[in-house]
Amino acid sequence: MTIPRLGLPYLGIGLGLRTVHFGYLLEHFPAVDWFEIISENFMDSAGRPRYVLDQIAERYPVVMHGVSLSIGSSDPLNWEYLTKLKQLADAVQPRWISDHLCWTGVLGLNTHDLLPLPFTEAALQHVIERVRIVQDFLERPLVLENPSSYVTFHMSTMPEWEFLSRIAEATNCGLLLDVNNVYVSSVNHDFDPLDYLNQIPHDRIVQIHLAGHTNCGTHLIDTHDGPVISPVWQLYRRAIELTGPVSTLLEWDARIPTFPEMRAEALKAREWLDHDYAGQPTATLTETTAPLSDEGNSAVTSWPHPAAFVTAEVE
Amino acid sequence: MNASSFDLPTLQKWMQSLLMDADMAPATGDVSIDDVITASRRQTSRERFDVYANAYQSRLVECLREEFATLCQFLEQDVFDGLAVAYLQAHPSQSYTLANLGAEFPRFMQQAAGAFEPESVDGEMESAASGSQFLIDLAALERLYAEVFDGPGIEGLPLITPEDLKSIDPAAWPQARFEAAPCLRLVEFDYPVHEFVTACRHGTEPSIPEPRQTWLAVTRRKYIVRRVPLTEPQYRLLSLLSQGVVLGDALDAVATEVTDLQSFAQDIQSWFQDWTASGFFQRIVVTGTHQDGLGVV
Repeated sequence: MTIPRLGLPYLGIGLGLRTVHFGYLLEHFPAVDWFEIISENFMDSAGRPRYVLDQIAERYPVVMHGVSLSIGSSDPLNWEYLTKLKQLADAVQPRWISDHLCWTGVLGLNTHDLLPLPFTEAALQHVIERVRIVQDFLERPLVLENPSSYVTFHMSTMPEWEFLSRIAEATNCGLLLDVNNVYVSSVNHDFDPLDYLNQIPHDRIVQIHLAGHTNCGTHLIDTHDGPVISPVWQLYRRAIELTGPVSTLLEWDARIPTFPEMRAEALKAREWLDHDYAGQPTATLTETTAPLSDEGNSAVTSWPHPAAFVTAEVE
Repeated sequence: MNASSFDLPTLQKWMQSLLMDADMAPATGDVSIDDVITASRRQTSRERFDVYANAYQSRLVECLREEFATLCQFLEQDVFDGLAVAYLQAHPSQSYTLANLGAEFPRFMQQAAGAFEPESVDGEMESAASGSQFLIDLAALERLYAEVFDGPGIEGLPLITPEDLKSIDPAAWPQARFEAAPCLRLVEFDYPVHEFVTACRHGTEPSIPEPRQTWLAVTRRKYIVRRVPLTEPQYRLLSLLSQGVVLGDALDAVATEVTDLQSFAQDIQSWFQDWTASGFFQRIVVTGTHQDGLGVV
């Protein structure tokens, strides 16, 4: 039996720290349980982003969430990156460090996308070995997130939930369960998202992500550009039933609303976090029978946003 | 080679090569997307793969649009996007951070200057060469703003003040060395692109400026990028000082280039007062002692 959440704390409901909200945050320091940062946006910063992060880290719990670890890449691990990641962690003292089960590039290049892995035994052993190395270096468990994906490979021999579960079992890493990603991938790859939630090791889930996505008619894209839709809330309810209270974060990275609006959307999670599930029927998914329609938004203007770009402020 | 013999490195190289350059033939023979990627109920393998292919280019072009916002506005988005795609093919990202994505873009513009015709972009251009230089200057300034914004700065550090200057023994001045603030950049342009960028950011649509030799100090105070127009003598003097030349030698060198020595001599004191007030200098080293914002160290 694993200690729930690997013994990591339950932080409540958090929000992503985004540059468009810097002014509001410094003026109001609003009531927020915790913040998640995109690690790469702060690792090299010696300007305003880093200053704001320091102010936030003094006042709120912070979690570091990366997009360039590339744990599944066949390239060697990037030690410059890992060294800077650890330096940032030493300075910010995050409650944990997370990244994605993916690869971002090979041959020294970075696509800045969260590319999918084939779920094979060889890939599994490759990722397990690298997670162990990274955890030894960071001197803390890595928390791995299930990404949204848009393709699967003929060569895969197991489902994603099994691949992720076996990594967690072998390395004792934590899991960041993105329920929106489960939903997006389930629609794109024709599987039942409840199966995924039921099979993943619940005691290793350290954090949950929620987000909006874009319906492109034939598939969904994880665009983080809108509110969470009803089926994703239903999946979230099921996840909380299975895990108990888990630190929950709303991601919103494109068409970002005002901070109060974003916070209000995140706080909807409170209904499910505070719910007493004893004696209640198990949550089911009632709105996934026809999630795709021809009325979906255009795919041409929608793409995943794994990392936000920081623009300069000039007098 | 066929898809069934793909190991992880081969699969990843295959997929990346297709993502980054759809026209480039992967080094894996006749393997097709159908051989590697499954179809879904609603999408073919190719359609599924194209979600990634479209996202790769779109996301990174969008980042370049944000960093080079004025250039993009001036060129109009379609033209800018074409340049951005060519740039990404020539300079695919090798960094873990998007902050480095546009680092080579101004140099790329310079190298590509002969390849694109600014007249076709805007009829006001007098010649391809001068138009190209305007675009190159614009790109260089916007990149500089990004670097200064997130690079090392002077916030929280003691700085030289005008009062500190007055406390230095006049006899020590000729051998004084000025250590520039880490965020100070001195740049020379053929066009007043700083005025053009500012006007665009204020929502106006200025006409293309006439060529005018332009010297700027770009720095940062309170985490906001600021640019200070300089005269040529000011630019020369600051450049020499930031290279470590002692004040006496720097002044001698600049004096040989100015036509009005008297006004040059009269102006120097106010220049240094302005520059120190603007936080251009982190430290002054005077014959073995350091003078910084806290006084003599």
